[in-house]
Amino acid sequence: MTEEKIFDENFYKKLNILRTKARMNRAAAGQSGARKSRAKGSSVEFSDFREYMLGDDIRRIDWNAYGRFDRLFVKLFNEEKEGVFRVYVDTSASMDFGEKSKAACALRIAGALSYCVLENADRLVLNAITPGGVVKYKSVTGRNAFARTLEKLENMRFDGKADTLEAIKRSEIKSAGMSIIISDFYTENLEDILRYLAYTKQEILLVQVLSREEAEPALEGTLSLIDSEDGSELRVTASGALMKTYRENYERFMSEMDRLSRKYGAKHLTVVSDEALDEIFYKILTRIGM
Amino acid sequence: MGFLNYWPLALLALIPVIIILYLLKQKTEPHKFPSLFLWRETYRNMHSDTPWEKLKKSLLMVMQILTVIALIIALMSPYIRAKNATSDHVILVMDTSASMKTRYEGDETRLDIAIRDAVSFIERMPSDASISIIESNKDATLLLSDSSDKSLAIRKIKALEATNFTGSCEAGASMVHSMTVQWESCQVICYTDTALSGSFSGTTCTVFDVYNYCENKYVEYVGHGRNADGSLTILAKITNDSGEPLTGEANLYGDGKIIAVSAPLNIPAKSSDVVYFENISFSGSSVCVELNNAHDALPEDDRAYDIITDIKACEALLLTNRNLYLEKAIALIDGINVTKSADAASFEVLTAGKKYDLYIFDGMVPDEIPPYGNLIFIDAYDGNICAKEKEVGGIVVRTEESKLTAYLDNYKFGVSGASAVKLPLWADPFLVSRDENETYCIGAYGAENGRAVCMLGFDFHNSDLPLKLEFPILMYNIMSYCAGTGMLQTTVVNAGNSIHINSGQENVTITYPSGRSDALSSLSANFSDTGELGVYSLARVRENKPEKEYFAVNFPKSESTAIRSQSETGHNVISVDAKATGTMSLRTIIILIILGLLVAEWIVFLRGM
Repeated sequence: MTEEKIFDENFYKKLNILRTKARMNRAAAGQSGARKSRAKGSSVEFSDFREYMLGDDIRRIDWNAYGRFDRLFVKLFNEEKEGVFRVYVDTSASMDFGEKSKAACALRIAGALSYCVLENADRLVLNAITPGGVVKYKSVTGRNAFARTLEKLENMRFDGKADTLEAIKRSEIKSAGMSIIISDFYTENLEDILRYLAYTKQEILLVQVLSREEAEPALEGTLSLIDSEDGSELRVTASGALMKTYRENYERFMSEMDRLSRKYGAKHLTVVSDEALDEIFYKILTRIGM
Repeated sequence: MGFLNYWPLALLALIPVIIILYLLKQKTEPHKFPSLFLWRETYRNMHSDTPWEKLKKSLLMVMQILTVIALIIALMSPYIRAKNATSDHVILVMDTSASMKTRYEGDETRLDIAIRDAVSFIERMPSDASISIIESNKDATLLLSDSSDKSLAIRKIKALEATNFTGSCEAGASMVHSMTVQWESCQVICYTDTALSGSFSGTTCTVFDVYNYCENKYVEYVGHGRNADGSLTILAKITNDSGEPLTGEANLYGDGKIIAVSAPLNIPAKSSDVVYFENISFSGSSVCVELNNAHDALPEDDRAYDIITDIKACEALLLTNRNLYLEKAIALIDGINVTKSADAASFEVLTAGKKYDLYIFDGMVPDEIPPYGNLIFIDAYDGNICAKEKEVGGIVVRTEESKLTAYLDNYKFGVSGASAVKLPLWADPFLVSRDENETYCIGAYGAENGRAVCMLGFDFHNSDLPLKLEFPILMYNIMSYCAGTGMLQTTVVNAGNSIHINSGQENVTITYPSGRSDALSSLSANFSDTGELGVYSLARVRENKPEKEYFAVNFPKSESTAIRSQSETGHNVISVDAKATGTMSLRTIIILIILGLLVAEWIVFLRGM
């Protein structure tokens, strides 16, 4: 990975854009927190009445109502819970590519999303998808954890070939929440990944990070293309016909991702690494409705 | 399709070399890419292309291989058998008759066009094809026989010049027939401007017709008459074969100097007129009439010559026993002084100390025929010069084409009893009789030891000949032939025709119109080197006196009139035999394909396909 400063001054300035609360639905499945939940609980916010049933907390009986109707009613309150955000960063070698590094872009996106999560007093679970499986960092909450989170991100190393599905499975998702996967998604089992995440009640955001060279390759002559992950070679002659076929494949690949995303209720966002940071942030906000 | 060379097949080894060069050329540059996930998909898609699409990827290499293959095929000299194409044996018959001098627009003549086409044809022929060249005009001449030396053939063709002779390719037909029998396949190519009759039937003959429609004006003939005062009246028949009236004048030249100009001409299109030059005082030997405003395609026939001759009296001795028919006929001819005798025994007395120009023996001969003077034998036989071969009775005598039967075409008469004359080597028949099995010579003429001899094998009294209108004509022809004492009996001939020169015992020098001189052998000869137009002179010394005579050679009228109407010309190339087949080289076509491939390669290279 290039030795560029990932979380620089510019990054911090742009974070202000993200000072907006994200709407969370299924994400609110964690411990009690600051996020309003559909579950009835013990917060101060009144929700409804219902008739007393055996086993109800007698402290919640509305005695005024009893005086008026001569029947026992209990007050119901909305329970406030924290959202659980799982951020998966693909650290395979294919991410460490591009004149504007895909890895740096992915890390900035991960940092920005972490900021949003922590700013909203939600729980952040950071995961690095690695060739060995997954590196699951300890979940954190609260603003104070942001600096530590950035430090973890900065220490990530991009190398080897990773199996995203295997990594996600190994991350042991135990509660509903939002899973954000930042990767280039050069995998053939994307549907398995989405199916697994949907099964584990995850709201899914796929942030696809690509370099300009991948989106619009400008190759000339006969080349021996070397796969950065496994070192395999492919000899191609960059003819007009070949480039046309590549572009058709690229479009088909994107369409397939969109189709699978719609099928499993996931949101799909493609970011090219040379795009401006604020542009990327707005894209994320628009896409996930924060 | 066949090939002449097979060694270029060895060059097929170049094809693997090209493929290897392409493989070596494709050195790849390593290029790191995040993932080949999409590229592998792309590669699979490319490999599922149709064979044609696969081919497109290596289009440049395929085109180069095709170019090499085409080059190899071209070097192998491919040919096909096709109509109007060249065969293994080709006979070129080149018409060099006078009409081939007719000019196209510009100075190019029909022969020039024919030579150009023939050279082009030879160049396209397979290298192993054999070529024969026949020059054809009044006669056929074999210029090249069955040679595969194309450069020699081209040189022979280029050296051809149009003559002033009559004729066409027809003269070469018999020579062609005799040559073609030895070959299985042979193609005859005729370059001519004259429509051919069926003389080439039986051969695969293609005619390249170089005829072009053109307008011609010409002097058909020139004649003269001497007036009582010694002056001359010259007449010239002028024909305008063009589409416009002929204007301008006709010039009269005497011995090469202009002596008169005609009144302005106005001869309508497609018609003739006679122009007279009256009261011309001229003491020279030859006159020439020339059109001064012809500007036509054939300038050679714009002039014609005539020879002015003084009639010299001929002394003749007639031995006859009352032949009134003969005597009357001789009396009609000017310039003959006849001494008659009815007794052969008196011959010696009559000839003592006197040489006659002509001896006429009618029914009797003296003991000894004089060694000088011309001879006419009429039913008289000395057994030496004129001998009897066989007696025949009740025959029909017909004329044979000859100078003695001029104006007597297909003339015939009956004879109750005649003798077939033994035909000497020096004589030609002019009267014959044919039965089912045999042809008898009834009349013959020729030059024997430098003197004219005429023989008739019947008595006039035994035939109806004297009763016919043509009798005086025949007698005039015979007397004109035999009464001449000079070297010439005829003074004007057409180019290519032979002229009889009676040189006698003396040596004769002939001077051509171009100025060159030649010596003729003694005695008589048929002089046939009459290719030059103009006035020829003959000179000899006889009895210590120099003598000079002239004859003129004119452009043949038949060649001037060989101008067909536009509708007859048809196309410039007419095949008279649709079955004509031969071989045609494909090398030029393949070279064009190679050039096309190279251009296509260049385009493909530029487009980076």
